[in-house]
Formats: sequence, C-alpha cells, structure tokens
Amino acid sequence: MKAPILGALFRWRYVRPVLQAPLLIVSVLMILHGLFGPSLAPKNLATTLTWLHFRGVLVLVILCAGNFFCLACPFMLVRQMARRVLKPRWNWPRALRNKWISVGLFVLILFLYELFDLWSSPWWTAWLIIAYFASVLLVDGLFKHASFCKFVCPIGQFNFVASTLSPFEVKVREQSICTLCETKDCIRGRRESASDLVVIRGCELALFQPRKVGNMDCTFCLDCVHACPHDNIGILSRLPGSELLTDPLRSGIGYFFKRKDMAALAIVFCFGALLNAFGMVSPVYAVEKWLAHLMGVSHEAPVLGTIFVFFLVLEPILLLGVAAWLSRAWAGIRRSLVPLAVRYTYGLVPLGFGMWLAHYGFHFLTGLYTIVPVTQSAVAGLGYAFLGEPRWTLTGLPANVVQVIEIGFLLLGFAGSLTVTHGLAAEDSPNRTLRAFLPWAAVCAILWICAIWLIFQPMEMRATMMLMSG
Amino acid sequence: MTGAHLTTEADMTHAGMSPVFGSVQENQPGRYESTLKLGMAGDWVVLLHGTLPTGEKVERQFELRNVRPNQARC
Repeated sequence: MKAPILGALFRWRYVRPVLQAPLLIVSVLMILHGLFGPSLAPKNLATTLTWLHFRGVLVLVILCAGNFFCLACPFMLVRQMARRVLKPRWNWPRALRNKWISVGLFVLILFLYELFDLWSSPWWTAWLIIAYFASVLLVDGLFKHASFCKFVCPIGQFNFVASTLSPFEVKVREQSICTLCETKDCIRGRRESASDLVVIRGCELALFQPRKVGNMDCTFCLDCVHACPHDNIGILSRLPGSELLTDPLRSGIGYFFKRKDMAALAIVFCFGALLNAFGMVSPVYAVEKWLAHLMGVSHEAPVLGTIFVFFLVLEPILLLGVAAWLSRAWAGIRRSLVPLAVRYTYGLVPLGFGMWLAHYGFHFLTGLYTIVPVTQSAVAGLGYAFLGEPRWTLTGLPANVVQVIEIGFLLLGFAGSLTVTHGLAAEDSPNRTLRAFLPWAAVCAILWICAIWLIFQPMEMRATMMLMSG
Repeated sequence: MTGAHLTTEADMTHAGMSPVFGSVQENQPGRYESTLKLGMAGDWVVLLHGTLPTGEKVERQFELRNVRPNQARC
C-alpha cells in the first residue's frame, strides 16, 4: 500500500467498484454472446473468455499476487447495487456456517462441467453465469454480510484455497497499534460518532484483522483497509504457502485441524484438479466405456458419478488414511487418526494448485490470442467492420512450449507440498521427523506422478452426451 | 453445383484449440474434395465457407465425432 500509484489506488474507497464495473460489462457481453452468438465454442465470447482467459488469468494472478479476482468480482457489484433496495433481514443460519454447501457446489460444478460439456456450449456457459448472478442476489438479498462469499460461492472457495499460496496478504502492519485501538473499525465498520451508523463497513467475512492469519476466507475486498482509522492495514508481502506450515487460531475460521469441512474443500481442490484434467484425455473414454459395460448402463451420468466417487472420496480416504496411520504408528504422533489426516490434507494444496496452474495455464496459453478473432467476429456480427476480418489463424503459444511450463508448475507444486508436509511433520515429531514425513511424501509423489502422466496423455474432447458405444 | 469457390475449416469443440484450414478442389463437376489434417482425437466441427457462382455466400456446418488423429477426407 506504500507503493506509488498502486498504494493510493487500493487505499481509495471506490477502488472495488471501479475494478468491478468493467468485469460486469464483460460478463453481460459474455451472457449476450453466449445466448445469441455462434453456437461453436471457439467462436463465442462466453466460452472463450470463461474457459480460457478467466480460468487462466485467475490462477496466474493468484500465483503472482493474490485473490484480486474476488476484489474485482462483478457479482458483488450487482449485489451491492441491489442492497440499496433489498435489505437482508437474516443472519446466515448457524448450522450452515461451514464449507459443506460450497464444497457440494464445487463438486457439482465439476460434475456438470463434465456431464454437459459446459466448455463446448456457449449457451450453457451463459446460463451458468446468469445462475451465478441469481444465486448471489438470492443469498445476499436474504442474508446479511458476505454470506454468499463465505459459505456458498464455489469460485470463491477455490480462490481462498489457492491464495494460501499467494505472495501477498491483507494484514496488519503493526500489531501494537491494533492493541491500542478501541473502536475495532476493521470489523465493526467506521461509524458516525453521533448516530453510530456505519459509514464505511468492516469485514463482512468475520475476519478480525489483529487475529486474521493468512488468506483463507479473505476476498481482498479491502473494507478493513478503508475502515481502519489508523491506516494500519495493507496488502503486504509474505512467503507463499507459509500459512499452511502453522495452525494457529484464525479469526473467523478457528483451527484448520478442527475444520473437516475445510479439509474436504482442500481434498476437492487437490484431487479435483487431477479429475478435471483426466476428463480431457483419451484414457478417460476407455475407462468410461469399461465402467458402463461393468455397470450395465448406457448413460454417462452414473459412470461419471462413479469416477467422481473414486477420485474425490475413495482415493483420498485410501491415500490420506494410510499415510496418517503410517505416520502415526511409525513416528509415534499422538494425534488421533482423523485430525491427523485433516491436518496434513492442507499440505496437498500446493500440488493441487500446481495441477490447476498446469491445466488452466495450458488452455490459456495455447489459446491466448483467440480473444482477438472472437471479438472481431462479435463486433462484425453487430454490423461494425472497424475491427477488420477475424483472424482465425491466431491461437497462442505452441503446445510443446506450454508443456514445459506445465512441468514447471507441477514441480513447483510438488516442492511446495513436500515443504509444507515436512514442516508439519517436524512440528509433530521433532525427533522422528523423517518417519512422520515419509508417508506424506509418498502421497505427494503418487499424486505428482499421476499429474505428470496426465499432461503427457493425448487430449481428446468429445462434446456430446455420449452413449457408451464405440 | 459447379464453379463454387469453397474453403473448409475444422474446429474442436473446446475454445482455444488450433483450427485447421483446408482448400477445396472441384475434382469432378459438382463434386468437391477437401483434405483436413485433424491433429487431435475427439469431436470436431467442420465449417464450409464459400461463394456460389451466383455470388451467393454459403456457410455450412457439420460434426465429425470420435475422430482419431489422422487425415479426414470430406
């Protein structure tokens, strides 16, 4: 925040709507082109921007900076405008103040993505965006604070987990200043002295800055920055992934090892990365055909469901369960099996992020320039020729070059997971660290080998709800 | 129909994949042939662009499912 120009920009109260507005306009254009434009995905803004550019830029921005996509979220701009009229009446139900709904939605979106081949359908992609806007308005129209962001939004949960590896964090500069602060504006909001009305809101995600640790649940909305009367909160640099090495009491979250819902989110994040990539390579069709024959079904849904159960439930239970049992037995760690498995699950986040970077990075970089002819075509379709004839030969970087970058991302993720799990093992068993660490290193190695195998598989994309034949 | 000027383009169903372009030859009167080298397995959509002898623009689209990475003649 001390950086010239950028610091002033982020300290400005209206930075968020200024960043959100262009993305809202783009979202509307995507919806319109998805509904009324060409039905072929490579020719449509909805599919090109969503499945290539949005996903790719998202993971790269999180890797290089932080959760700035949540800062610029267009859904929140619409919500904010709606809240001038719709005043939410209720607090989010206490029993639902966890990640289970968002985990379920995350899995559902991954499932629907495969079942309906969302990547191939501008129309369905447009409706997904519309559904997202509707969901935000419904949830945050009824419930106070940022209930949608904290408890529902699947994209937000993805961003929260991934940004545990970001190099920047919204945090307090000097703890001593917070100790002396009596008004706690960062969470209560800046209030008018006479009426006690909130004039600048505080954190809507219940993250009390002096006790906030890391980026989990932080949308980078900067409400705390703007509310703080002492200019004591900033976007500060840190060692990426360092927040995964410790498990202190986190404001608005608690202890990671007690949060099975967050561990489930981390599991979906990590194992879902491999699953999502697996859905695009040739072997998946052989597996689907074999399963369909075994199950005696002809529709893709039960086959896909079985694959999802294997990847997201059975495989994690097996790998994490065995590793937890081994490290406990071998290194004499005194934690119970389930809390131990939960604790080390977060160590797999770097690997999962590496896989998402490799996958989304591949599509983004190989299709980098396709936005040019798609935009040219969209404008020409409206009758304006000033952008010229669409240059459909423009694509992106060569696949063989991008594959090297993918390997780099996977190596980074592997190194990150080994570092985190080693750090946890050293804390759990200072005298037998290697024994505590090796089972988890083996899990990391197995997942990493699977990821490497995946990126070398030939891609094959079938865009129909296939009957299990041929 | 003879004397039409046609080109072909093949796209995968996922955005961002490199399209393949081909020229079209009229080997026999009214019979047109194009060769497209499809480098990736999966579903493709072939687009036919062109101009008829009458000057009328023509656009056609048809699907090729379960393509194996090989040459496709259409």
